[in-house]
Amino acid sequence: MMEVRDLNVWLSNYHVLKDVSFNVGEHGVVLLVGPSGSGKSTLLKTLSGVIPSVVKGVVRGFSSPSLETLKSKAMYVHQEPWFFISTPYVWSEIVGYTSIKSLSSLREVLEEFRLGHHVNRTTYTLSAGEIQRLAFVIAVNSGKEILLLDEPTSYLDKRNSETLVRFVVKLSKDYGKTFIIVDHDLTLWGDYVSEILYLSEGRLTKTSKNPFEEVVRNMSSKLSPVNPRSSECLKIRVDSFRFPDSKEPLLTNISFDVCRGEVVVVKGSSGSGKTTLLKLIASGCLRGGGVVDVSGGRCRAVFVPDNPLLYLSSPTPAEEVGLEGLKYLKYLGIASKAETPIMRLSSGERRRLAIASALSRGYEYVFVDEPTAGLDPLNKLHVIEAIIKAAEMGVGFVIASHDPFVEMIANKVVCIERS
Amino acid sequence: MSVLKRIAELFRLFVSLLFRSIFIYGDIEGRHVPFLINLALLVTQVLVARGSVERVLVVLASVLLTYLARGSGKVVIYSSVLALIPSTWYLIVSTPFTLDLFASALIALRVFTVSLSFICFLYFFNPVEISYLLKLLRLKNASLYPTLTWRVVPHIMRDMETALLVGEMKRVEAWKSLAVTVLTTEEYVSLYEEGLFSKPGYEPSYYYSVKHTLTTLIILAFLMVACFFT
Repeated sequence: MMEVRDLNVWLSNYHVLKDVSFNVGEHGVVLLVGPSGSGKSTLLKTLSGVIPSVVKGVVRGFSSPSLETLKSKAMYVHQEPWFFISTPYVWSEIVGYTSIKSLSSLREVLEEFRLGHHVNRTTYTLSAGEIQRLAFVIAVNSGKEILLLDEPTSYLDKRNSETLVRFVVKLSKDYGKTFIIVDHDLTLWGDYVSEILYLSEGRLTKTSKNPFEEVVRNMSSKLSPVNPRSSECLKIRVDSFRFPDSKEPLLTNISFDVCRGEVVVVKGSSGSGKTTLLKLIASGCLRGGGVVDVSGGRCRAVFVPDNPLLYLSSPTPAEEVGLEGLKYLKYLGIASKAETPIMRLSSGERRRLAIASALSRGYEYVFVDEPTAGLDPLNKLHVIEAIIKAAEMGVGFVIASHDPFVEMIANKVVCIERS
Repeated sequence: MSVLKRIAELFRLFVSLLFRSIFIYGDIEGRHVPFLINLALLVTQVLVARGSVERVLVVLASVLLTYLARGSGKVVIYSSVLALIPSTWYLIVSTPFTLDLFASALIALRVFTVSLSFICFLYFFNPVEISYLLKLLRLKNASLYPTLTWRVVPHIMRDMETALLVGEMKRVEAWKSLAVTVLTTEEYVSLYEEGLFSKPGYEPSYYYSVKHTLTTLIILAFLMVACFFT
């Protein structure tokens, strides 16, 4: 049983959480939803003690067990799973941080998350989805009683998301673990959670229905593929691609066209090579040749990586998009943050900013990796609508995504699987 | 192509080489040889390489043998290209002083061999072992740093590579991309701290490979015997 009363948190003098109160019963699975920037991650970080121990901030309020006790009982798994992993090999990470010490049990546990063949792999070569599953494996085997998971399925495909949900339910029922989960996918969690908490502008309310129901309904009925009006296309052809001295090719027999004004969605399980494909196309466009056949040798294109920080090159959103791009900040709901330093933006805001910047610079083609990962349905809709607007103006898109709503606007869907 | 663009391109190539020479190939059994034996091999190689040309060639053979016998023949090409960077530099800068291309080539060969020995040592270095040894020495807090370094450095380098690719596509100056990446690095430190904060204490564990330890000892013995005869 966990009780939180009148929790207030200030970060850099900004009042982020305002009188937050809630209870979590034993074996509870609580889902925390809300728009990006509403304070969801701040709440999890406060409960785990990350705030104020690592991130400076002021915390006031009552909690039982106390926040001091929670520090040792709770584990926070970051929204960007890369930062949760701190050793170079998959086996060393699990052996070092969990009770699993034998190689056979390690393989067994990893196998359940389809990671069994990655035991000796370096952790920095894993895909985002693989890292996310590894982080979950560590969290649930760490011996901590309360698990605070920030967007645990944002980089996972449907199959792996469902496996994760199944494990959460099992661990809470059979092993008494308590979960507080930030996620936007209520269809995925709705049937399994004991409570849904809605956080908006730092204030918490309980809700029995999906607060984004209307937006989701809207998206389901409204989204459809754009009609491409241009015959100018990129021909993408990968007969076989493997990393130097790798035994097996990562990508084989991939061939498709992307025309200006068209949206091509690349889907496939995590680790199947979606990001690699986008990078190959991007390099081909930049230098001419490679896997891309472009008339004239090169094309004006840009690549937006799944970590939006790697895309951004200016200190503030306004400078990043320039005057022309201010309208995109508006479309994407971040106009009010135009002068906020990039380092102070939330993860979702940075993602939207990177998309706004890519759309505002007049590229012929944009290659985006997981444009909606971790976004709430409303912001997701903003991003998808902005992509539609840009496509209508003749921008061609290749998007790697697991998101079914992104797939709804696709003119073509390219499925890649490792085998 | 602007100078900065060329620098960015060179940086990308360098990162890619460094990745393939040291970091990328996962944990193989050949990396489970005691650190002190690896160090002894490196020190012996460096000391012997200071001798005659024959000795330099013996050292070179011992390095190549180490790679091959410990199941990492594929890394030799990348490591050699990386080792060629300092040796080419020495070849260029020493020629005006020696005024003899052959003498300069010998200097370059020596530099190449020593560089390759260092790269080979780094490739087979296993940070998990150092963490494990530190734990045995009751330096539990310090035990995290070797593995963390081996995780964070390639992570940042890979991200820098991506940031430079994006920067080039966006046509922004390379320094701008790198400036943001530096800021990013600062944030990475804080994010890794957040990740580590609620994890339980790090308990490194390790095993040694008898087969590869014996192989390395044989190579060390071969090196010493060969030196005796040259």
